[in-house]
Amino acid sequence: MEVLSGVLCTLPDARRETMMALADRRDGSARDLLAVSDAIAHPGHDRTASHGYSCYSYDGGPPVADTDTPIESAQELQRVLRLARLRDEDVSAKGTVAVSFGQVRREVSVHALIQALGPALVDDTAPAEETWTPAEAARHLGVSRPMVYRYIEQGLLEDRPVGSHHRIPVASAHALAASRRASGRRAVEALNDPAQQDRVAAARERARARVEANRTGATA
Amino acid sequence: MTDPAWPPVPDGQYELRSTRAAMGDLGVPGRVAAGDLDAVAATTRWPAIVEKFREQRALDPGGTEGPMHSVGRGDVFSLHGPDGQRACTWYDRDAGVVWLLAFTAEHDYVLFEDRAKDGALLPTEDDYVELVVFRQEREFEEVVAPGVRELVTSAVNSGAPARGSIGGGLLRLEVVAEVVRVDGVGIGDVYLSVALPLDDARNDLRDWPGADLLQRLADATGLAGTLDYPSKVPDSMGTRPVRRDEELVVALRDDVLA
Repeated sequence: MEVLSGVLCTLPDARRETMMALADRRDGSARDLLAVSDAIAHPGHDRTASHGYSCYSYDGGPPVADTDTPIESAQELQRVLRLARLRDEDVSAKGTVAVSFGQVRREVSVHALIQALGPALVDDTAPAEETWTPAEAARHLGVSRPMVYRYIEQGLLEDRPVGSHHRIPVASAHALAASRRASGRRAVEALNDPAQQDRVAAARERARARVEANRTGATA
Repeated sequence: MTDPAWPPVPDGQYELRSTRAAMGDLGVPGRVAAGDLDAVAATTRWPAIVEKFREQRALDPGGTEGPMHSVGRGDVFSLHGPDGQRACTWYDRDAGVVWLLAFTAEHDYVLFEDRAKDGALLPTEDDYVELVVFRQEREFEEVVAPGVRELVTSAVNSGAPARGSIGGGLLRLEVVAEVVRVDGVGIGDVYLSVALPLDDARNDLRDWPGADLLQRLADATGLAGTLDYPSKVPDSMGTRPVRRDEELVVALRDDVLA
């Protein structure tokens, strides 16, 4: 954590509070988070003030890393976040990292941290500044190109336009794809979960309407 | 109220999914989600046809091989893979999905034609149930953020309150923006008012934030202003008190808005 804590230590107390509060937000586009991300991507700040900082990882599901093991270095934080992102999106969706800094303590969602710090994390499959065209992003996400444009408009995908051309950061597309995969897995689990059968029954009513409409359309 | 499971889908905006029948044809385990084409490709002996599906249908819902009239309808399209592999797909405009319907490793359309005769070629009830639940499982922000941002943009640009139903009818929201422009830069406050009572459709959303609703809505704006829970809201007469029985209000203050 020395890199992140170094960044924090260079900030006034109130600013630190604000940054930590923003880190808890899911919108990785928050300017402060991007500033931190940039700082981590281009280190060189004073790290001597990291004394007293500690970071623990835990979550309600599978462990992000060794549960209750202090994360004592930036490399370790990066390793944890990389694992969370690459190994199991459920962890990234549910996991939290408890961050203590002096009297300040926040439970920051790993999902938010990944989104916020994603460009700064070392990821062999997604170089920090790599971008995709809308067609490439569409193929990766398994959607049409108009859907990619819609996602950009809706803020679900970032855009780094080059002239008049859209360019989607690979990390942004990965994050959305991971979120969708997690939703898909939860859906499969829900279908087989006795506790959710009322909900599934309600979904079945809607499904019947759709199947009936298809059948009618086929014979029309 | 618009059914959140089947909101209107603009033409051309769709996602790619596989039916359970096609996944069975591909030998994909049942635990794999139907929309997770990465996992489908990773667990089948025939990943090339899945990649072809993704590459071609992301660009064009009909592809290049043409319709398969032999299955009794002109909107089911053939998809050719290597070594004679064949699949067929269907653009379900109402659901906003291009479905991978069936697959055979043989250069043979009999499987597809037989299923069509049995009424078993198109997505089944189970396929749609999984689609409905999948869409319910999306994150709260993903469901509401587009509508929230649209209303904020409208309110900031027009200077007038922007009202709308967002998230497929999940929330009724009014956005008021007070903007001061300095050297071409807009700075000000944004008020979000959620109408009460809340719609029962929220119970279908896994990620419903409950008591954190206003905080999460504020997050969904993408703005970084200071969060506040005001007692008054701007209106045409200046300000009015928050109507506690009729609305929940949050404000984001001192943000750069345009």
